[in-house]
Amino acid sequence: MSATRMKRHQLLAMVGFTLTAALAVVGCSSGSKGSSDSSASSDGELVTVTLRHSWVPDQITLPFAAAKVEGFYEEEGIRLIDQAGNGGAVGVQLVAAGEVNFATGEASHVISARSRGINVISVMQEYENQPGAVITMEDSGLDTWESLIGKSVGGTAASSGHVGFEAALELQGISKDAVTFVNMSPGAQFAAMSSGEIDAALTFLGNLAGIPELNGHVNIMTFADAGYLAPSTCLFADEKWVSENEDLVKRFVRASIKGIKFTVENPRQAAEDMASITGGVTADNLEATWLLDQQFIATDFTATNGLGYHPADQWTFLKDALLSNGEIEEDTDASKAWTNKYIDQVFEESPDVKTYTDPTK
Amino acid sequence: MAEHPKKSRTLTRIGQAVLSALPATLFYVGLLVVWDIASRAGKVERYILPGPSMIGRSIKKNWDLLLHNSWVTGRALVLGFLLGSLIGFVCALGIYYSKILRKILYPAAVFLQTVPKVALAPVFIIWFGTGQKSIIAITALICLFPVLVNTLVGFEGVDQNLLEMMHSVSASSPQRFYYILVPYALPSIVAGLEVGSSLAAVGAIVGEFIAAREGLGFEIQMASSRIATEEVFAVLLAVSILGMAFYYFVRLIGRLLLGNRQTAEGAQASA
Repeated sequence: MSATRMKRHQLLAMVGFTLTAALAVVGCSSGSKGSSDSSASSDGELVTVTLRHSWVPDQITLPFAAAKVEGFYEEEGIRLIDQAGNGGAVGVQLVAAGEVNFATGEASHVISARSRGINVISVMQEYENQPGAVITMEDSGLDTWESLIGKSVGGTAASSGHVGFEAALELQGISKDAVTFVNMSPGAQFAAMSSGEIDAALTFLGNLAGIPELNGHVNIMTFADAGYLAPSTCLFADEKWVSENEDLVKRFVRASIKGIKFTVENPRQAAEDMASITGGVTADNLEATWLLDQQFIATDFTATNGLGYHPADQWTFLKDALLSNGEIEEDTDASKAWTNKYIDQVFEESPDVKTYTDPTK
Repeated sequence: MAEHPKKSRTLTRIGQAVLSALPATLFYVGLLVVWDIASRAGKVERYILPGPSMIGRSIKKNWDLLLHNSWVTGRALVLGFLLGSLIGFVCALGIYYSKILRKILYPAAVFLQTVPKVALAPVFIIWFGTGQKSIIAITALICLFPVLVNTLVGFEGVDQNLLEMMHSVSASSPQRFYYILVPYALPSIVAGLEVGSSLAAVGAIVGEFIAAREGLGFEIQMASSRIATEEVFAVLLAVSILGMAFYYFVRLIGRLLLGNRQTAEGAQASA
């Protein structure tokens, strides 16, 4: 074989390899939108729907797990396949890419996504208000928002808790620069606060139930008390997929709201339901965390409008907060980030789902 | 007249160097072009894998921030590596000379190497605080093990006859260490330092995930939460450049230390 021919073969091999590598990159990154994997698939009489939770199994997962065990999804002809998550931002990417049908995550992630042209939409609210709070050690003397001036506060940077904290400070007339924010992983801030490395920590209120050493021994200042009434965890999906699967979305929303209602009315049973199908959690802890958070799920707003209903003004309020602290760079229409269309249909068809009894009130 | 063949040889060498680099260059340029075209055409979801031009724009936009955070992470990376290497070397020495220390230190080093560092976050914060000390400590912990293991392998590989010969001429322990142990273990030590340096960037980023107010790891978290994927990739590129630059710097130092001698890797390859 001549040298020229060898070089030609090498060149062809090179071009072929480059094209294969490029196609692999494109293929691996384009998601499977529109493929059979992304669509809810039918198996017998049940339609399989995938849901990615915002985090590992916790109180946020509880209504969905209870709905699964109590058979609410099956009543709607749905087989729910759910998976643990690692943050709402990843959930946004997965639903937009068609890898899962639904995801739960912070309303702030939905707004951030839309401001960047990723069209996901919330179809149901789980947490009407942010359960975020700043906590300090009981004997620290730090029990007012003003007392945090000049102090260090630990939390996860750019999380919804961080956004809520800065907005709450602003609502209290305190500049965010007046407090030193220290970024740290979720598991680290309590240890850092207990050891005096930081003065205060950000948390979701329910998480305190898992730390008996702190629960009942800390000063709690909720963002809601500071006037920050922003929507928190919601159920979202890709907007196009929603418009193509409206009946399925409505049925999924109905089953999920039934799950929230069941959990509000029977927290113990819901916790036992979830513990029976989920490893690494206990019914006692789930019930305790849920009860701390329930005030943010079953609110005065839901008493009037029903569980899962989106509070329009609060979504706009949240968008303004995100814009003001630079979390989103471009203004976006917050009203397009959510829809009450399917909840309205559910409440019209099944009025009993709208009303509930809250044993904690 | 004698200049001509020399000039010609130089030109040939340059030509050969250019030719040998051509396939790799063409491959990467081709890959970037196809990737960018696919991204612009919407064939690649930009919130999952943004195109190179998009990442480039993000780098330009966040240049000052990237530069500042690279400095912050780079400082932790270098200090962590130096600390980890020093501890690794001293531990290897202790393990080599003392059977008791071998039984104490070696299992502890293996244990620390296998534990996910993120799980140790609360411990690190309590011990080292929320500043750079924690990040340096985590980087050091990640760099320590390869330096320890390679140094120990180097020490244990030294010809015992040489040590006994030194002993027979009444060489002191420091003399044996200085003239035999270190020089003969040097290729292995350098190999350990090279592996450690390649892990230092990972250590610094993990440290910044755990507790930080600035740095590239902190920036990745911020950008991820905003679903600013192009910014995440811009930071990842900065991390890679930083890590590679440091690795090649350590490699160069290693080559200078070894002079004409081979590294352990080279020695193995030639064997």
